[in-house]
Amino acid sequence: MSRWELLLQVVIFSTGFFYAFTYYVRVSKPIDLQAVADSSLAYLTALITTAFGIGIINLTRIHWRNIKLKRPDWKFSAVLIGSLYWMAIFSMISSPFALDPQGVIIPSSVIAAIVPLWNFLYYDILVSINTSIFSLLAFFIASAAYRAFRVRTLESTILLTAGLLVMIGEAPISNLIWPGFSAIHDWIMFVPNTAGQRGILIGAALSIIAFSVRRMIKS
Amino acid sequence: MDLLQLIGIWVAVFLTLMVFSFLYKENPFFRLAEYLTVGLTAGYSFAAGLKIFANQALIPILVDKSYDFIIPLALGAMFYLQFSKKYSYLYRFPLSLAIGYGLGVTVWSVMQTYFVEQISATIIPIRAADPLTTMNNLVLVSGTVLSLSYFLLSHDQKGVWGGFTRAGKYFILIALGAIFGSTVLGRTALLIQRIQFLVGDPAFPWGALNLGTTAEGRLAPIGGIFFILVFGYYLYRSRGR
Amino acid sequence: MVKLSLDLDARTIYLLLILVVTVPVLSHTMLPVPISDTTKAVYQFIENLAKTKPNSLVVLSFDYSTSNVPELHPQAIVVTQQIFSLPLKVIFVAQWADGPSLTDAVLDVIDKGSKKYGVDYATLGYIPNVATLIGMTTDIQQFFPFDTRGNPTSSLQIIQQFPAAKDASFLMTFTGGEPGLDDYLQYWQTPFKIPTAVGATAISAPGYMPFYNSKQIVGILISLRAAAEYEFLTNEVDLSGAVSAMVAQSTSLLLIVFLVILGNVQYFVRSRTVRKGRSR
Repeated sequence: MSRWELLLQVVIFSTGFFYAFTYYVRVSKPIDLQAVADSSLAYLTALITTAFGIGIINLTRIHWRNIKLKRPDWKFSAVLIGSLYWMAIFSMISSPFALDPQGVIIPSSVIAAIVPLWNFLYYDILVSINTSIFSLLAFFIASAAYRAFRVRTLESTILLTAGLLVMIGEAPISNLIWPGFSAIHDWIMFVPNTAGQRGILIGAALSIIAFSVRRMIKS
Repeated sequence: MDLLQLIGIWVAVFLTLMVFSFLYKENPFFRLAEYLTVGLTAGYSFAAGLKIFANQALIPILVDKSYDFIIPLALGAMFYLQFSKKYSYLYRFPLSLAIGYGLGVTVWSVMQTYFVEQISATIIPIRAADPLTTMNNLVLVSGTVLSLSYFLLSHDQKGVWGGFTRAGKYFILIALGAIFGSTVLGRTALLIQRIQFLVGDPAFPWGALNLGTTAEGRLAPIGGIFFILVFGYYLYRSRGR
Repeated sequence: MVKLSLDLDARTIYLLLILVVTVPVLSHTMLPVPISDTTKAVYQFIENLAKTKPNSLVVLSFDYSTSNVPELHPQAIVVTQQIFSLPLKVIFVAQWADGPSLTDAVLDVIDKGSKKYGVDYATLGYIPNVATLIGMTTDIQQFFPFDTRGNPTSSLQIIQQFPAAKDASFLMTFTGGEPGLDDYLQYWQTPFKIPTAVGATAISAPGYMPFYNSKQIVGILISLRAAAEYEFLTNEVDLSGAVSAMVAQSTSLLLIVFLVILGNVQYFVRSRTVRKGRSR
């Protein structure tokens, strides 16, 4: 481990240990460590939020290179860059993240003019495309249901049976066919599913804690 | 009826069908929608990040005159050194602070929330007033212990112990089956709302998504007709390629 | 011998799915939806809270993006409408960047009654990281010097009355994933015992059942169906369009069940045919 890496590891350990320690042990004299931990949160937030520009810089570098070198799909990269900066500018002027929502510096008339443009970009374009992309998954699940979900082993039988019973129970119409479907669905969700999920949860919690401690004291 | 709002709805319908055209085959319309969504999302996220940065880092310095915030600001600025070939290693310093904080907080929060609370909820009296609740409690407690045993990999999963872990595996499979069944519910819900939108259904929450009024929404299918014409022309021109 | 030669192409399946969804949507048939225990628990908790602790603080967190809108936005609409019809004060926050925009969209359509901004409700905006989430439990103003409308939070009566998030009597998060419920459980519910409920996507809901069982959360709203159930509970049928979607929901689910069974039947028949052919 080089000296730089050692320094970084010391930073990770001391910061991590400090925040873990101050939760479990109350030290008020000579320094109120709990108050120090609470007040440091504001500094930490300021530090983390300073990295807001990394994503946009990376995207711009990659796609600007595509445009400059006229790579395949460079026209799409141009669309991406254009939409990125226009959305950023409009959002800074008129959105819940507007820098001057009360119109102190930016004239109110400009803000009022940008509002419908921002609404168009966000609700008409962004929301529509995003919900549509995710709704494609319904088609793929239907196709996979027919082609891929096979009852070949005991394990797949259990998984598929539980899945089918939950699916049928969730269909509101199944309650009209037989109320037992809802009861079976509820039982599966509240009892064996809870048991299995809880085992996964506790196991995952153990792994997370072990990883966190190992990472803090990495040698 | 607002014409601009109506045009917005037609554009939204057109874009929705551009995405759905992927079901027929990969095409430039779908790719355009993909790039558009990445650009808009990144631009929006940038504005969000800038606003938060202004509130959390700039305002304390410029308005509240808390000049001690200059130190975290300077440390945070080191994140941008990753773009420099010579000084890129320095960006790991503020990252280490953030990682250390996250690890320290995780130790107590995960311990309490997932470990202590969940184990407490498992230690319940199995015997209850009625036989059904007794059976449920038994299944719950034994299922939790058995599924947890599946993750203990320090022993070979053979013999009697193998029997326990196998039973645990079946509980985990039931949980995964429940996730699969629920996933189908969720995905179909996504599709149903899109179809409601495309057909101009008055039940669709037009106003709640700033897409105009119900009356304007009824005219949404016109955008679909326009897309069919454009896409049909594209297919006609690209046939045989 | 039975010959099953029906082999469905992927595009046929897509068309079938579109058909079983579009026909019920166009027919506008409404279906009574049985109310699940997890949904009723959320509804009753809010109703009881308004009776036992009127004018207490509720925090609504819109932790989802535009891709989860079909599942979570209807829930957000009906729950927000219920809370606005009761004597409760509300703060809106979000752990996802899209949350504040979606919050404004919901507030544009609900009936706010006599509730005034800044006195009875306020939109604080985006919670960017865990440090802010933890910090605001003790001091909201330090981490949110301004609300989303540019008002200093120190000037808002609701923040003067409830300066720290730990003063909340109820927290509801509409979550599409991480960050979401887990962060609130770890940093708000566990240390301060704030009663918490979750509006979840269908894929996340089974994973939240252990928290419901351990009473770490008071209830779960699961996907679009829970919004429909909630509309019946609050007598606001089709406020969010959820009830109208239930027939389509049923038919699409049953189609997928049918496809799974059909696929497996064909698979077994084919393997038997292949095995018989080999044995000759």
